[in-house]
Order: sequence, then C-alpha cells, then structure tokens
Amino acid sequence: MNIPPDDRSSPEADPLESRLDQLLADRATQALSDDEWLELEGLLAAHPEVDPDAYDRTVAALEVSHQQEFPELVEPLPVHLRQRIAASGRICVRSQRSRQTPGPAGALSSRPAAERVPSRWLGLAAALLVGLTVGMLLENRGESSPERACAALLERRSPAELARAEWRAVEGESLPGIGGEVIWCDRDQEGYLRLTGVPANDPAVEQYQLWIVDEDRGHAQPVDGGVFDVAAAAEMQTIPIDAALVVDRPGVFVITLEPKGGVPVSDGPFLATATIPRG
Amino acid sequence: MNERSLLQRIASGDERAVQECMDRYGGLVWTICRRLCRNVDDAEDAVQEVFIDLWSSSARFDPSVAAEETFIAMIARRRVIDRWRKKRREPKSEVISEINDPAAPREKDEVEIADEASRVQMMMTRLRPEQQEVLDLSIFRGLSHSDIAGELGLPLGTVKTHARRGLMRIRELLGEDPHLGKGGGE
Repeated sequence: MNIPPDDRSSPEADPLESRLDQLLADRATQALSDDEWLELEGLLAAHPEVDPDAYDRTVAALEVSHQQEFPELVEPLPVHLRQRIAASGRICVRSQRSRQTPGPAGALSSRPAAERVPSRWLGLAAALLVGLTVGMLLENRGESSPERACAALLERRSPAELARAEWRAVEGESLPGIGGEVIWCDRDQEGYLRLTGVPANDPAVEQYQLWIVDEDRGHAQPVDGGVFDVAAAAEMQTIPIDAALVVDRPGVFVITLEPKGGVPVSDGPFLATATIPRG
Repeated sequence: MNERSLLQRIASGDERAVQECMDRYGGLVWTICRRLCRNVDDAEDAVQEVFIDLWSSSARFDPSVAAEETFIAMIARRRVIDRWRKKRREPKSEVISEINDPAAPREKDEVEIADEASRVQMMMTRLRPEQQEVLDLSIFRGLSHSDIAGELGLPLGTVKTHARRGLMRIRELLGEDPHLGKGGGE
C-alpha cells in the first residue's frame, strides 16, 4: 500500500501506544467488537496520559462542519420526539438542582416519603432474597417467583399489549455493563425489569431505585417504580416493578442508586435508561 | 464575555436551557441519528438516549476543551456507535427520508460555528484523496471499515490506516485552533 512519506513520520515508538491509537481511531469511526472494546479499556487503563476523546472530538468537529456545509441535509427534530425529550430534560435538570440545593426540591418524587413504607419493602426484599438475586419492593401478585410471573405476563399478553425496551447505560455512570430489558403492560399495570451486568449493592447502605416517566402525566413527575437490590452481577435477574401510581404511557424507565429505602426526591444521577419505542 | 453555555446552564438547573438546547441542537443530533441508524424507530430511540446522556453529562462539558456543538455531536455519534456495537449490527447508510412531523423552528444563529465549519471543511481538503474518501464513507455515510474495504477494493488494514492517519492529520491542523484545537490536538 502506498503510505506517503509524510504519513510515515508519525511518532509511534511504543507498539502498545500505537495499537491504542488505532483502537481510538477505530472507535471514533465504527463499532468495536467486544474483544476490541476490552482491549481498548485495558490499554487506556495502562495509559492514563492519553486523551481518550481526541479522535471522537475530531470526528464530531467534522460532523458539525459537514452539517454547516450542507444545511439542506439537516432535519429538524420531530415535534413528538421533542416533547418526550423535554420531559427527561426537566427531570434531569430538577435533579441537578436538588443536588445543588439540599432540601425539599420537589423533583423526582411521585410519592410522599411517608407513603413509601420502606420497612415493608425491606421485609419483602428479605423474603425474596433467595440465592442470587433479589428484588424489592412490591406487592405479592400470588406468583411464586418474579421469573414465573414475568413469563406468565409474556404468555398472557400479546406483543402489542406490552411495552418493552433494552437497558442502556448512561455514559460515564456506573453501570457500563448493564443489559437486559424492561417489560411493562399498561393494561395490567404490571411490569418487570430483567437485568444483567449490574453490580451488587449493599442493601444496608444503598439500593437501586426505578423511576418511570409517564407521558400521560404531563412529564412533570416521574413515577416511583420502587427500590431493589442486586446480589450478583452475572445472572439475569427478574425484578417486579412496583409503580406507586397508575402508569398509562411509560416513555422512559430510569435507574438510580439511592440510600437504603429509596428517596422521595432523587439526586440522581441516572445510571441507566430504557426508552420505550413509539411506532 | 463570560456567558454560560447551554450545557452549563442545564448543569446548574436552568430548565429553560433544556428547550433552548433542543432548539439549537435538536437538528444536529437528529440528523446524526437519522443518518446513522437503520430506520426511523431506531433513530428515535437513539436521539432520546443521546439527550438523556446530554442532560446527565452536562456538568462534564468543558468549553475550554471543545465547542459545545462539537461536544454534543461527539455524544450523539458515540451513542449511535454504541448502539451498533450492542446490537451487533454493521451500520448501513440510508438515504435520509422526509420526516412527516412539522419542523420545530431551527435556529442558525452562530456565525462562528459556520466559520469553524468552513475551517474544518478546508482541512478535509488538505488530506490525501484516499484519506478523504475513507473518512467520508466512514463518518458521513456510516459505512464500517470492512464495508469500505469491500467498496474500494482495499485491504482492511489499509482502510484503517487511511482513517487513522487522516484523523491524525486533521488533529494536527486543528492543533493551533483556540476553539477546536483542544478538540483535535493533543
């Protein structure tokens, strides 16, 4: 291949650094394989002096310039999406505000603290804490396990009656390996989290908490979906959702990590989200 | 002037900045998602995830490192690429189709952004033709390196080299730019 002389001059003394540089360039322009991703993580850990975002910023600058150069290719954000996104923005901004101003901020709360009865949740959670997993919150729906109850819901309802979405980690937060999905049925007001790759929490100190952005609530307040514990990261865990209020049109499910028992007002940050697709 | 950026305002809890952010950058993000995702549904999911990332990471935006629109485009591209990775899909370019929704008003208020755009575009023309071609196919058409190798009849390693060296060259050229420079240079 004809590598021009000027291109041969780039300093690449260390083969590992060269490999790191190539992986960073690859990451900026295409999806890495899982193996490459792991390799990149390892190399970045070994080379903390390297700016991991430099190529990404370069490509982003090219993207911006391209859109400026060809404005006819720029499409406005559709209105219905804008409304949905505005809801998540308001929640997040209020959460930022409450973080900066401790006290009653009125955000991220759908249920007064007094109604949460954490002792009930903890009692139930303890009862469910068998083996690997565990969850939470909830009412007993007469099922012997969340897995079976979830399977029954999937069997009982058609795909059109179920809202389903994959979990996505929020960049820079503490659940990069999260997988699985959320399943929700408006008609039954019943739903489940199926989770993998979530680190175990110490239930005596902190618990994961679920929030549901219900589009029919004017996006003003997310519905508290209850707290839950994770005992092992490797297994798929099924966790019932304990929505504190009726949820008619869930848009986004959000996981935060909160002090034991959960909070009426979350300081965030969002760790993972699952966005229900609207066809 | 020390006017705070939209992301800085969002980080400090200013709700109005959320709307302004969507006014100003909604088109940028949506266009990236629409172009790089396989279909509209996928793009809609992606654009929501991008903005959730933005709301959540607004406090991490540092205007001394990158321009705001560059930071936002970076988050958007990274999120879409992460979706490719997770779905184990190779990206395929699609022709941008018409959107039925009526447009929200689009703001084009930034002369400086246009200036930067021209500068970056100029820098592209200073790359070798094969580097330009690979970056164009990769960044603006969303082709994977293996697709590009097939399309251009080049070995995969050569495609990767062209992409990387093209980006390195642009980083060098951007290196002295006070606004974009840190975004590209080292």
